[in-house]
Amino acid sequence: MAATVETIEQVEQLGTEKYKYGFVTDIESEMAPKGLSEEVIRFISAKKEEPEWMLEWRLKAYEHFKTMEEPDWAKVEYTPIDLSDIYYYAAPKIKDRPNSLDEVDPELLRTYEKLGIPLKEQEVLAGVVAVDAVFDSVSVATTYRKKLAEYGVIFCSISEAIKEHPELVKKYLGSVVPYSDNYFATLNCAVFTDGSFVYIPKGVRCPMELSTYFRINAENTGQFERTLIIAEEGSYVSYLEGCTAPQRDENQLHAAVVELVAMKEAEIKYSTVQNWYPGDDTGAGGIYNFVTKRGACRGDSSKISWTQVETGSAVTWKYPSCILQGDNSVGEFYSVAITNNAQQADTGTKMIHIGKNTKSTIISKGISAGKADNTYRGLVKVLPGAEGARNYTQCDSLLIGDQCGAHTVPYIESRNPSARIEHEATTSKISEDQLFYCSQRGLSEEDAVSIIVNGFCKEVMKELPMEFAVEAQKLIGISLEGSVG
Amino acid sequence: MPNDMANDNALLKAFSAMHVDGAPDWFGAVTAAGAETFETLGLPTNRTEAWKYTSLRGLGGLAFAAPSADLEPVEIPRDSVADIKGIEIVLVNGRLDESRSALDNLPVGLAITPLSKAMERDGGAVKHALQDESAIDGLPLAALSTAGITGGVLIEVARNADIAKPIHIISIGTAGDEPVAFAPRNVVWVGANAKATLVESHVGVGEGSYFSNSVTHVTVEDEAIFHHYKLQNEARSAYHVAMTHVTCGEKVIYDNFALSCGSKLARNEIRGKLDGSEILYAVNGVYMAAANQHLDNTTFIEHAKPNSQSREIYKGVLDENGRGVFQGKILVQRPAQKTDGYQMNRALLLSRKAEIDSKPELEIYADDVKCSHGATVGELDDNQLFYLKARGIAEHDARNMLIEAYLRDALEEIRMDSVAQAFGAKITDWLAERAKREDAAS
Repeated sequence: MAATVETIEQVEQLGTEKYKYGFVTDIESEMAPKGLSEEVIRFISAKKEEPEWMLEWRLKAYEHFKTMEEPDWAKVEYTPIDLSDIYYYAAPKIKDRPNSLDEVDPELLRTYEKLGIPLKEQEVLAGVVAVDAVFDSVSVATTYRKKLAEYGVIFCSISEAIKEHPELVKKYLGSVVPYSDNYFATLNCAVFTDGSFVYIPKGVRCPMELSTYFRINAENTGQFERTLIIAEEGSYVSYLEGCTAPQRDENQLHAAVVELVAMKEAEIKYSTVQNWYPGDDTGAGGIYNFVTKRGACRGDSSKISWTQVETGSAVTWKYPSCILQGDNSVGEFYSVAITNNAQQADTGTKMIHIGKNTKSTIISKGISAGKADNTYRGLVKVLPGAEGARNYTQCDSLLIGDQCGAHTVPYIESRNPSARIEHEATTSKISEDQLFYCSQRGLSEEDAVSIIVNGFCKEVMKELPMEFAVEAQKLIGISLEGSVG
Repeated sequence: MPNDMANDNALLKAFSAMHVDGAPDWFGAVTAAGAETFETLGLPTNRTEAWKYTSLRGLGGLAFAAPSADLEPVEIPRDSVADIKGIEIVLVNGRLDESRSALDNLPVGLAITPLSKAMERDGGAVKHALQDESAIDGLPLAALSTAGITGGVLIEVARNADIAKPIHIISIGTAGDEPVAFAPRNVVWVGANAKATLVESHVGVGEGSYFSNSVTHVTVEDEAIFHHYKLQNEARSAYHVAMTHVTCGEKVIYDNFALSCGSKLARNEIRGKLDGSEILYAVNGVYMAAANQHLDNTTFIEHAKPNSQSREIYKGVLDENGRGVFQGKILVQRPAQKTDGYQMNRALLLSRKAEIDSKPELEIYADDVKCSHGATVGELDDNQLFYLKARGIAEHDARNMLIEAYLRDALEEIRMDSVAQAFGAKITDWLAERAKREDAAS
């Protein structure tokens, strides 16, 4: 109850300011030298006290990366990234790892408070959410581990997992997104600094929603997160990912990789609210968000569900995908992508049907305002063995203003005669009637747009866990501020 | 890589070897520009986004020759051609057969001129069309075609003219020991407020391969109505690549229907520019592939002005190792408010080895628009099958009935009955062939 009230309060505060997360916390960082090189990778690996096999994997990725070219097929335009001008490692300077929150740098805790994640109170509050808060590449505090441990659930930073559960990491890391997958994923393999690791043992329903707040802080630090979630047979987990970033003038690269593995009858629900700094009205200073997210439904009757609300970043390049290997496995993708001002988003999903009777659902809502461009790009592929495969795709775009663009690029490939694939897409605008109706009832135009857009996104919003739903609704309103009138 | 280059050069050489007799100087510059563009772009591979699903690798490996300067004395294969009574124009291996083409005694308001003669007229529609760089820009096969234009006609429909009888272009490819490559080029100009119908039949004679790489320019002036129907029934080992550029003025009605059942590999590409308001623009079609056929329909619709409507429905059936490709893109430019666009591709896979690749695409820059697209892939409806079987119809027959109904439904989009009938006959033929295969197999 207390948590709900607090959430509402936090969310109300959100509405008062355009982007209140535009602050930089002054914490001394320990940085690797600028630029990308074998030395930097060795430095990162050494800093994290990684075993030899991990370093070898990183170096293998780096060798491959050197042969790759930056992709240009996405419908986004941005100033090329100078990889030599990025710090690949920046950790808050902590002598020893804190055993409790009391040992955490108070400056850091204040940052979280501003963000609305009072860690201290989280622990006191009824066990609603466990937060594996990530601050600039190193996990500083993880709560509720004891409680989770009772269930046999492992929820820790990936660096810890590499040290403490090497057999699991070795087995699954790179098994869904291989080191050679794509330009940004390969870069991530070489230089990833931290991220979350989740392991749900056989038959366990994770007792709480697991959550990570991402935050980019130190100037010029690219954020290379690596998340790995494994759900063993018959288990269930819901994972929340939320992000904010402080205001700054230089573009920041973010190239994360998320891998999900669902075994027989397991279910993983992965929800994201992304509201990183989108840049100013011209897009200057915003985050580059180039993310590879992929889940493998390895076992029969397994399920992976992606839900995302994307309102931030200057450039987004993101395609959470499902590989439906197990018979009767299910993949879902629910997405709201909002772009305003000079934001650009090229996002969508891939559903690869391999097993029999595999099902996938894609619901994508794109909202474009200001001078923004919003593209849905998706692939539905049915392989010859996917007897009885079924896909339903719906992509709706909403345009607000006459300077923006909305694009839909679906690829549909079927090689099985019993497969059924349906794809629908529409593009429309907010009608005068809807606006008139709302303003008649005393709503300002801005509130009216917020309400109408929330209605437009309802099918996706209802997939979000409670904690996120309220925040996400407000975010939609904030993201569209200044788009009308 | 060097191999690809060699193939490109061989193709270019085959096409460059062709000439239109008595062509003026500016024509040389046009073919040179085509060759240059092709050399820059090269033969597209799967890595080229616009050719992602259609590989022309098989094409590069074949040695094509230019058709001989003399016309091949071939009979018109009436069984393959669309059975309509029209004003016939005959092209053999891309060269105009003047003796069998209706160039004189045409209805009032209609003029058909051999391309070579039309070129001599300075500033005409032909020069305008051929010098249009956007017709080859980024389009490797159209550029290759331009490098070696073999012949064709200029069709002019005068302002206010109403030509009731359809104009029928019959393009025949001769498949012989040495495969030929040819590049027909037809230019159509429909004057303001005029009305006309064009039917194209692309057919082949003999066993073996040839490569037809055509470009057609269609300009429809304000308030004119133009029906444009195409039957692609090439020889089964032939390659067919066709580009149609359409430009529409104010209040034009343009409707295109393409039935594709021939060739080994075909690409039917239509690029329409809706350069006026209140246009009704339709591109529809049916494709039926069997054996190892690969049938590609690619369309691009550009809404440049407000208040126009575009409609697009393609339906396909894919049997045996047949592969269907549909790529449809609607681009709505910023000024094109109140655009209403609809696009649909439906495909039926009839075999376990068939494949369909579909890419319906929207690119929209205007906010007050209504655009939608859809795509479905699947097999026949079980309920419908059950309904028929419950009435004592054998499964095999019931399936064929449903396939026929599914395909014939698309013919509703054809506005001229005689053409709908002629195209319907091709669907019946195809299904009969399929039934024969099934009988042989069982």
